[in-house]
Amino acid sequence: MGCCGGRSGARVTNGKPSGCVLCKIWAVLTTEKTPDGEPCVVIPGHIAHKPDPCIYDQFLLMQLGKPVTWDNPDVRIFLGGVEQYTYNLTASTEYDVEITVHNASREKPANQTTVDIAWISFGAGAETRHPVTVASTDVPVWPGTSVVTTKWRTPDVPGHYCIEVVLSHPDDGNPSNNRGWNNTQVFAAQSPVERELRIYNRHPGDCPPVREGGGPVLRPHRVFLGWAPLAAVATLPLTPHGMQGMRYLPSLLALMLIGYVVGSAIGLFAESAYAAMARRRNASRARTLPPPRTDCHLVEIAVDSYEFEDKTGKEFDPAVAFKGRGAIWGAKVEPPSFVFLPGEAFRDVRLLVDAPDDPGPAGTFNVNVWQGGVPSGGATFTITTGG
Amino acid sequence: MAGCDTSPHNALYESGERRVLGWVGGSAAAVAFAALAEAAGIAGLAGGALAVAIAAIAIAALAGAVIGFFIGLAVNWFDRLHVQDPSTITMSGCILCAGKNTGVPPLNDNDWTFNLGGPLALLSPVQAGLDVNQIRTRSAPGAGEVQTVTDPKSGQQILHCEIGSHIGDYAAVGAAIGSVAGAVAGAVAGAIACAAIGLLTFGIGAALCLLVVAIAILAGAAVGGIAGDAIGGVAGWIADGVSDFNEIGESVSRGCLMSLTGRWVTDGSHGHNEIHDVTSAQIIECNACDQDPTGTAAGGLVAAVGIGRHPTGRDP
Repeated sequence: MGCCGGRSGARVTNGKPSGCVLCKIWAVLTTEKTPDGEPCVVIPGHIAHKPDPCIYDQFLLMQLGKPVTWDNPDVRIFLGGVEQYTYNLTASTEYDVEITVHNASREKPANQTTVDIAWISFGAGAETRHPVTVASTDVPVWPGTSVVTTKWRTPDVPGHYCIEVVLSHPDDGNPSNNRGWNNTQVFAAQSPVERELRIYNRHPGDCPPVREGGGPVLRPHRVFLGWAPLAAVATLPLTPHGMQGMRYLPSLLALMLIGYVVGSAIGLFAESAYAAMARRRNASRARTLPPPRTDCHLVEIAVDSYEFEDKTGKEFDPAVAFKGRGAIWGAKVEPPSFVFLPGEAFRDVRLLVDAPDDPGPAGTFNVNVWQGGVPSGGATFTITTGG
Repeated sequence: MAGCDTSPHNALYESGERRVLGWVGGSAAAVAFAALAEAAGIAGLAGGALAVAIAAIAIAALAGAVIGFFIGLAVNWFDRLHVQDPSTITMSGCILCAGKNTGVPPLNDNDWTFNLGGPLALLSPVQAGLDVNQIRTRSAPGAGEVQTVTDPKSGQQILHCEIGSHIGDYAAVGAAIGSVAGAVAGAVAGAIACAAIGLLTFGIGAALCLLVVAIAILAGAAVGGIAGDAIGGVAGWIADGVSDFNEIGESVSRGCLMSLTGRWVTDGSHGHNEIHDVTSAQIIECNACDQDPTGTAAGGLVAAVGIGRHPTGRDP
């Protein structure tokens, strides 16, 4: 593709043009230009190579239009060494929580990655986080991982839980892959089955205001570093009259100071007037051309039977791993979409599954929820059959 | 210049050139007015003296234009990017053009530029109503109208992205400071020259003095501005090197699949939205993604790297 090939091409050594300074200048001047940029451009290493701690992040995957499971492969809960589903945890019981943290960078370890573990209510869209623990871990370069374990005592009051893990790192190369949920329920059933899932309203009030356009507010630097210095310099032709021996420089400076003050005043007035006109013009345009935007109260729900097969490196084929799978057994969610009413905190929807009566393999159903056009959460139900 | 252009280019309300020209005109008028006021105070201004005074006013206007150019350039340089809310976004897509705007500032800012297109996706933040279309069309607070842009060669819809070089910043500041300092030094030198050759009299002598001072201001502003631009550019070049000291760069070309994180802005000079500065540039793979008509494979790779099942960078 005409590129210099990673970091050791013909023109580039250690990411920079090779040779003496004059050679570099010559290379810059003589490099053949193309209509679509350059055959190859070398970007700074500190921008290109950063640690990237990450986790199986359903929100990232949904943003990319990929299927997800809420049975997070990087989050596990154990009781006496046996893995648990999050829905049916027992009150006042100590569980072991195990988080696997990955690092997508081959070059930079993600040392001192913060792992924030919390529980939230089972369902989708819940935002009230109840801290479990905050840990710090060093994640080696890919394919290394780091496993964080902690004890968690469930609340005294019985409830249904979802585990949320949020990673953070001060030099994170990709902040969009740091949030994973583990939200699972298992039950035995015979046809037909019905389960409720609570959808929490992320915006119980009005939609968050969008700050956009409107025209410039007064920008002081234009006044004090633009108008004022220009006015100060504009006084320079006036100075010869003030020149009388040693009084020249003080008179020059005094005149420039006066110019600076006058320029500031004129600049403040002019910039304020310009800002007001621009705001009015843009407000008028915004009224006539409202930008198309998804209603933040619109909820859309989908159900599928996708299952994630966890592998790494060459073993992990994205085309296979992210191949969607429609709902088996005739599953659906009622209603599949709705709009939250003003002030409505949550709404329960029903997962309806026409499970077979005969014994057989369990069925997996992922209920994925979007609110305002973006991922809001979800849950994975495992239904066993045959009693 | 081998930076990546966009189409349309500068078709909107406040292109950088037009805005700088405003400063040039305003400054020329201000300095010319000062020279006119000075000339009006000269006694016995007629005939040859009047012609000299008119020439002095014209040169003063030219000097003002030069100063206005350098100051206006600096003011607009730091005023052109209007930051959006949210300010930081992460996008993934295919590089349709990669280039460095190499050259002498202010004609070239030496930024690394990219046209990100193909399977363009917003990875973060996950915020109701915020999607790729909004990223490309929403006007930032304080900014005017925004136009969507395409890659000139492929015609695809894109998001323009840039890694800022220190060269453009330092050169703009250096040129402004240099032109002002040069103008002041020129005025002082011109006045001293007047005094030395005894021109501070009246009539043609005073008019000649005004002319000498105007010429000195013009020369000082021009030389100071150019020198400041050069010094700033070199300082920026050094700063670029220092900020990447002991790091190994990464080559990027058309067809590389990347995720870019940085400041989401409306560029007032071009009237389009972009990421500027890119603070993190991850290569997912350089696999001729620009040849993938559906973008399905690209999206899968971004997802695989995103959850840590594949590493960033080219496969060795």
